[in-house]
Order: sequence, then C-alpha cells, then structure tokens
Amino acid sequence: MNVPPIINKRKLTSSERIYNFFATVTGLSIFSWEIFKQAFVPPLEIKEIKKHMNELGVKTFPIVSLTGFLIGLVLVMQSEPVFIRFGASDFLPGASALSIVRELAPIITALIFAGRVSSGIGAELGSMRVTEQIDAMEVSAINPFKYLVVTRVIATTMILPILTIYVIFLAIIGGYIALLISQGMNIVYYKNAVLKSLEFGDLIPSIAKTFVFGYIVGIVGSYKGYIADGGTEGVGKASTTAVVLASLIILLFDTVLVKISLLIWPM
Amino acid sequence: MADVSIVEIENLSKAFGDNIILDNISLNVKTGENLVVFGRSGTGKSVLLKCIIGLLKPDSGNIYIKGKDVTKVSHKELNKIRKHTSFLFQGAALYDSMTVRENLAFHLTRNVKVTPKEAEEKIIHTLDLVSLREAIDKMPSELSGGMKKRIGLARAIITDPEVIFYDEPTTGLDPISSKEISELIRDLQKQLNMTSIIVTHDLICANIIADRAIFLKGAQIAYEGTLEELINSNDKYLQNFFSTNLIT
Repeated sequence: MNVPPIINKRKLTSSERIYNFFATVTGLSIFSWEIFKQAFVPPLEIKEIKKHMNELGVKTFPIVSLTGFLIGLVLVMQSEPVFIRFGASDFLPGASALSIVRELAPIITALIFAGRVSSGIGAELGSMRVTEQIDAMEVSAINPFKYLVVTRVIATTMILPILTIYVIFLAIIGGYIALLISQGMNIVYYKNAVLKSLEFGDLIPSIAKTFVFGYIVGIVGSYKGYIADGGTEGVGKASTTAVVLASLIILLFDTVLVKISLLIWPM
Repeated sequence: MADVSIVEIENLSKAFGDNIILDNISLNVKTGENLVVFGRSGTGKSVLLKCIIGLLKPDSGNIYIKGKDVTKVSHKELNKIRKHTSFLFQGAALYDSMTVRENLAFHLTRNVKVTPKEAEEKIIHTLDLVSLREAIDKMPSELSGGMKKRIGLARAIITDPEVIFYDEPTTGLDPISSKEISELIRDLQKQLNMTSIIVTHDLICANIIADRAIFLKGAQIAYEGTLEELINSNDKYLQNFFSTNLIT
C-alpha cells in the first residue's frame, strides 16, 4: 500500500506543513479505503478482533467509569443554582439527562478513548514498524495491514458505543447523587423525570455517532503508528500526534454529525 | 549445490532521491549456494535484500525467484513466492507481544496446513535445532541478543523455506556467539539444503558460511569470487576492508 510519505524534520517550512496536511488526509483516505476493502475478506481475524475489544475495553473501563460518574455529578451541581434562579428546578433531571445523552457522554468518552487508545495503538504499531516486526510479517506472506490495522479499527469501532452507553448510565447516576445530596430527591421521581424527557431521537444519533468516533480513534492511531519512522523518537511522535489528530477529527465530525442528526431527528 | 539459479537479478537499480544506492546490478544465486554480500555501511546491502524480497520496489531491473519476476507479479503472487522464502532481520524482529511458541506458530500455521499437534511438534523440533527448547514459553524481552537471533532463525526456518535471506545475522554478538550462530546457519543450510544470501560485515561469519562472496562499492558489485579470492586480492580497497575487519 502506497501512502504519501510525511516530511519528518524538526523545523518545517510553511509549504512542508501544507504538504504534510494533505499527505495525512490522503493517507487516512487510503487507509479507510483499504480497511473497507479488506474487512470482509477472509481470514476475518475474529479472534484478534475479540482480543483487541477486550483489551481496549478493559484498559479504558476504569477511567471512563470515574469520568462518567463525575460528569453527571458536576453537571447537576453546576446547573442546579441556574435552574433555581430561573424557577425551573423541576426540569433539572430531564435537562441534565438530555445534555448527557445528546452530547456530553459521547464526546467526552470519545476524547478519553482517543487519549488512551489512539496513543496506545500509535505507540504499539510505531514500535513494531521501527523494529521491523511489520516487515517480518510482510515477508512471511502474512498481511500485516489486515492483522494489525483492520482488526484494531473494527475493535475500536465496536467498543466505543458500548463504553458510551455505560458512561451515560453512570453520568445519570452521578446526577442523581448530586440531587440526592442537595435536595434529598427520591430516586423514583428522578428516574421518571429522566425517562420522560428522553426520546428515541435523543439516544440513537448520539450512539450512532460514537461508531464514527471509534472508527476515527482506530484509524488515526493505526495510521500514525503504521507509517512511523525515525526510531524511538518516531514512536513517541506517532503516539502524541495520534491523540491530537484523533481528538481534532472527532470534534470536527461531531459538529457535522450533530447538524445531520438535527435534520433527521429535529427536537 | 545444483547448477540451477534460484535467484536471478538483472540490471537492478534503486535510488532514494538523488542518492543512487544500486546501479544496474546483475547477480545469479544457484540452488543450495551460500552467497555472502560484503560492503561498507550504506552501500546498499540491506536495500538489495529488501528489493529481492519485495519490501522495496526497484526503480528498474528484474528480480526472479524460482523463475518468477517479483517486480512484475501481483501482491497475491508475490505472497505465494514468499512462502518459499524467509528473512532473518538484523534485530531478529520477533513479535514482542507473543511468546517464542506463538512467534513460531504464527508463521507456521499461516503458511503451512498443519494440525495443532503437528504444529507443536514442529515448533519443538525447530527449537531443538537451535538448542533453545527451554525458551518456548518466554517472551522476547526475556531473551538475550544471541537467543533472539537463534529464535529469529528458528522462526525463519520453521516453514522449510528454499531461500533464506540474512541481514547481518551476527551483528551485536560477541565473537563466540557470532561463531555459534554462523555454524548453526551453515549446519541448517546443509541439513535442509537451503539457498542463503547473507549480508554481513563479519569475516568470522563469512568464513564459516560463504560459498561465494560479492562486494558492493559505489552502488555496484565491485568484486566477486570466493571468500579466499577476495581476502587475498591485491586490490588496496579490499585489503584495507579485510585487514580492518580482521583486527576488529
């Protein structure tokens, strides 16, 4: 597979930066095309996909658990005085649940996932590249792209929606804890208020977009690692640039996907 | 050694930008032959190997392995050819997330149809050949440099390749380990009747292995002959190279 090479120097000129930008966009497009071409061709590497899903899920589980709970807690703590000021405290459980489901949980989970997983994939594949392990697969008639990249991208695409649903659940619990402490709110009242405010059109697009975010995390980490060069410095660069690039693309896609989801499921 | 060429290179050229690495190189390697490739650092020895195995695309020229031009065939065809070859990388390139058993099994089971029992037997037999059966459940990080090379060699021969490429197989090893690895390569080559192309700076290694040697200089094959002929040459450049090599 021929992806355009990235200019790897300490100081880049403006034209080299522009070239690198377009080389990255082209490289990611070629990666995407190859993934779609190879994903459904045997061997499907199901065992490897399961292994990555398990590893990536387990790796990210503790940090998203804590974050999920705190998002809900802090959101309600911050919003409560505002809702009271406007005389709308009855709407607080529903409004906070809507914020969590529609935007906060998907985007924050995706950004944490990018930080944890994209850098990990970048470092792992980068290290394999500079120590010739990827070449060793290639010369042994094993398809390294299929084995290393396609499996990881499928795993990240599948696991992020699961993590997001879990984060939504924890964040709503966090919101309840905040209201329990401040108002001693009854859990049945809270549950009914939350369920009453949420609709099908709130949950589906927010979960659907996490498949895209998971795909972005996988493909950016894999791309940066797969093309790494320059020894250990190259591995470090692959790891850090993977996080920055994945986070940026996630935020850009989020803007577009929110607009699309509002057109399909208007409020 | 049979008189049939298994690797044939015709007018091979490769450059990186303005830097010409290989310029119009032609070379034949006979079945069962051990060819040693000498040359100073940066003269294109590893590039030559990587072009032969299809890791690098040459700018021009043809490379035939078992009569098939690896520069012209499809990727699928290239992989079929690669099933008959192996490559031992300078740093062994063991998969560091896999144990020794998994490293060997990974190459074996993906290239040869074997039952799990047959695979296990083959892995143990191959590890016995390199005298490292006890390392079967170790991770690469637990192995010394010499052990890594041995396991790399075991992984390279487990599929019974017809041609094997060695990129500096003894670099970084002490003289005793270097001699042991070289003798192991020679013994395995004799036992399994493989053809070998070995890139090395190491005269001890070459002395044990080489049937024939070439010397790359100025992007071309500057000298060719038996190792003895090269060492005893009147050429000042060769004399300087080999005398320095003997001292170190």
